Amino acid sequence: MMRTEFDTTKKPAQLDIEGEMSFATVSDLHAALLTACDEVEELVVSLDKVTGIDAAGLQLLFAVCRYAEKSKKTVRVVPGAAAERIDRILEFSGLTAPVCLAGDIAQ
Amino acid sequence: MNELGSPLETFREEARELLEQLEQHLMQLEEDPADHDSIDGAFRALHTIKGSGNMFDLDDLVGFTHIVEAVFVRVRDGKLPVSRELIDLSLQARDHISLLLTATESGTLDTEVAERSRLLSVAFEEYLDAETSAVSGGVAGKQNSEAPKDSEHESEGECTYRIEFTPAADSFLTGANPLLILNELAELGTILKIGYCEAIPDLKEIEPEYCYLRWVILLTTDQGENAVRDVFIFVEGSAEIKIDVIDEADPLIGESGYKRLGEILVDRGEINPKDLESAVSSKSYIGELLVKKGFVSEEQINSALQEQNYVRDIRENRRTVETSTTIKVKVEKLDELVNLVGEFVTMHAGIAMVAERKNDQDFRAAAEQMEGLIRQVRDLSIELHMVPVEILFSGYRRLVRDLSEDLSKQVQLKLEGTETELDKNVIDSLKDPLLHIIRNSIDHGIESPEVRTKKGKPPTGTLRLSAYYSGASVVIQVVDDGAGMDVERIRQKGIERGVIDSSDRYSEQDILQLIFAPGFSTNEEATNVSGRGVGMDVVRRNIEAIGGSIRIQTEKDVGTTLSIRIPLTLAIVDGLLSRIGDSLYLINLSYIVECLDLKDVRTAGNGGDMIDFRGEIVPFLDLRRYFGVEGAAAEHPQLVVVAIEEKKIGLVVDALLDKYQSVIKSLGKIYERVEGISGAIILGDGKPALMLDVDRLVKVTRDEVKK
Amino acid sequence: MADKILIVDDSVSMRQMTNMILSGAGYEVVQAVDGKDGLDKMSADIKVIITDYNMPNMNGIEFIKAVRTGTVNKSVPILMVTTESENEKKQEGKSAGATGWITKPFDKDTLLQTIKKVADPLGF
Repeated sequence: MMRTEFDTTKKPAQLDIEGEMSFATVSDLHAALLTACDEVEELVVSLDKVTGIDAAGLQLLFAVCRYAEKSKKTVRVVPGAAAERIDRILEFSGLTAPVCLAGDIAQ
Repeated sequence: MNELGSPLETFREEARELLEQLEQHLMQLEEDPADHDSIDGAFRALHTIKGSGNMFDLDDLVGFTHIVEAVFVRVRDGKLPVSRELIDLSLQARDHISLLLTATESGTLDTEVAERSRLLSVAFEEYLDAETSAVSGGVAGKQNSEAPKDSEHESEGECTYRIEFTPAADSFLTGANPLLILNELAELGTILKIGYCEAIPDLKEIEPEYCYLRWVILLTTDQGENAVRDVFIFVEGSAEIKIDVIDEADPLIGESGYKRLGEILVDRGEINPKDLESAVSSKSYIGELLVKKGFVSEEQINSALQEQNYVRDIRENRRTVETSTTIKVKVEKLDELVNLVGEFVTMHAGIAMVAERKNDQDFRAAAEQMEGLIRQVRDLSIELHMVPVEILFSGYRRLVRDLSEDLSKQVQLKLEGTETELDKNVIDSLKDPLLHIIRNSIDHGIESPEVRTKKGKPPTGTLRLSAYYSGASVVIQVVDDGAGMDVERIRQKGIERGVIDSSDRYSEQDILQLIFAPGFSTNEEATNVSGRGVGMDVVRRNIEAIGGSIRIQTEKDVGTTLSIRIPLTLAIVDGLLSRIGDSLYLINLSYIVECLDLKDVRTAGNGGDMIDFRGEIVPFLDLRRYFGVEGAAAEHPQLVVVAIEEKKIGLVVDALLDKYQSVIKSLGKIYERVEGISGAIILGDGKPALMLDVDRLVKVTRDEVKK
Repeated sequence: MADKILIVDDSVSMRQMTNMILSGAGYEVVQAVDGKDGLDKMSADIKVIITDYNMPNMNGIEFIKAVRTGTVNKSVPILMVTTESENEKKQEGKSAGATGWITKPFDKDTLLQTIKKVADPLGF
């Protein structure tokens, strides 16, 4: 249902999320994100291969951005092909995109 | 549901097995009446048969089983001991249920089986106390606690709710997706969803399976609050839900502005009123200020701003929404329709006359049928032209509010009879006169709170606008509980101005009517609100122009009532056709009290210029003389007693002809200056008739008498 | 692919009846005769579970608790079938982790509407 790939050879390091960001997968996803954030100073989270997102998944994205704001690390979330999906769920939920995501959404 | 076929057959088999079990339990109970397992088992078997039977619409079976089950509920609850008789009866019931199972195959029960159902039911009911048997009555049929929304709640008009929805932290885990609730709410109407993500912690702290989101939702729907609550049925008790009505489509509430940003925040409990006040006192842009002072977050402000805009939009849309169920028609077109219908009425009268003259039965029957139809068309076209006075009244809310503020008075406006309908044209012509009257009432009538308190009245004055039907007229009243008019002062003023003399032959009403004279004002110092009495003469002119009359009642320190009486519709009148010489006159039926033979009436008064009408001395007017009709008086003149606001006069005419319905045409030049005539009509045979201005005639006659 | 619904009920006629309605509405139906059987037939692609309360072996409450504390599809919406007036059972079901309930007797529309209320059609 969900797979993550952490590529530290890229500069900056990139975490690819593939599949569903949903309640069923948020626990695993959370763990993967924590590991990645701990390991590198600069991280790009790519949602390009995300095929579905629910409220739990969305919440986790907010948490990533909140972390990016607070910590000294640079974390960017790149929605890629999932941009439209994320736009829709944000709009549906009456939420505005978190800062570390908003820039990319606008692209 | 017979088309299901095979599940029903399966049910029958299952039910037979259950009946088998029931029998076993009953036998066991016969040996050990206190055996709990058997009592439970018997109950469960009956319960399942009933429950499943209900799914298959087996009403007879379900109804009967229900009563037996109810008895076993009592047994289970220890309220009823197991007796030998009960077991006997239950075994009979078991056999009967088995019979009902097969009987249902044929559809309807034969009378023998139905009778047995009845007898056994009666026997079981004896084991039920009054309370339980009352309950048993309703359950036999299909009673669905999750009845379809629209049948359960009648439409309650459009309403906007603010719903604060905070899902339980573990809501994801119970499969309750909050987004589905948003989705379901959206299906009820227009929605604005404002999500709050401020509670989401950062990646390090988040419990990813918990729900941190919450929402403030503005929903505009006509489905009623229960429908809104139904959406939350599965999460109530776990989620936090707060539902408030923030805007109702009640026109009486008026459009008097939406809530201020600060008020919204206070309503939601996001800021306390004190903080708001301290922020507002510095008079800068409130949203910015509240954030700067750290009272609320930017998210909260944005959300409140969104709410403000939403309500504003909904209000603006409402007018369009309301008209979308109606068609807008230009008033001119409606006028034209009414006119054409009037022509139609006139033409029909002609046809009816011809039919009468030709004495052709078929022709007459056709003419009569036509009359019925025309009446319907006429009524409908008049109805089309009618609008509720609410439109007129609610427009004054703002005026009253602003005016009382300007004058530092406290005035509460009450509207009554807002559903009363009036001709659109009449409503339009009333707009300005009423405005003047209301201004006067607030300016001169209602006292300042201090004065009122001194007089022992509540500091807030009441201004009541009411409308009601009275015969073919509508009476509109503006009632205030203010100081009342000073009749003596008006009289003095009248004398000063030479409008009246100092004799005492003027009634209070006569003197009060003076305020409608041009340039007559009793207030020494005119205020900028009501001006120098300008308007009251215009008020009367406008009202008379639509065939209305105005009357004042006042009592010192109690208040003043202005009553405006206006005809329901301007275009068509029901009248009584009368003749004087060769001329025909139409008298509006709504003013007529009675018609009498003049010779049956005793004259009274010194000059014989009064009549004794049922013990009341009433002045009368000989219309032949009044209009200067030449020729000899009729042999049997008729007396038509008319009344305006209880003031009666008699009108003498040569003869009374018939009731007549007509459209009033504007007057030709010739009649323009004749006092006492308000219009002309063309009769069916093409002859003209004049419409009497009864209101004027009453006034003229009564004035004459005073002199 | 049709949405999969798991029906857990010991009454054959109830299963048959529910199956008929749901299949007719385009769902794929998986049937289980009690809670134990239901757990065996759990899978990640089940969209909604409809379970009875009274069942031999493992009753509805135990079954719901087992799903919620399990590993497979633990947040799946679960509807518990109760009869009218069984408010305690509704509450018991809710505390065990049921998403909602459906009141017996129900007709086709009520069943489908209730499923719609909890099954996620949004798919972002």
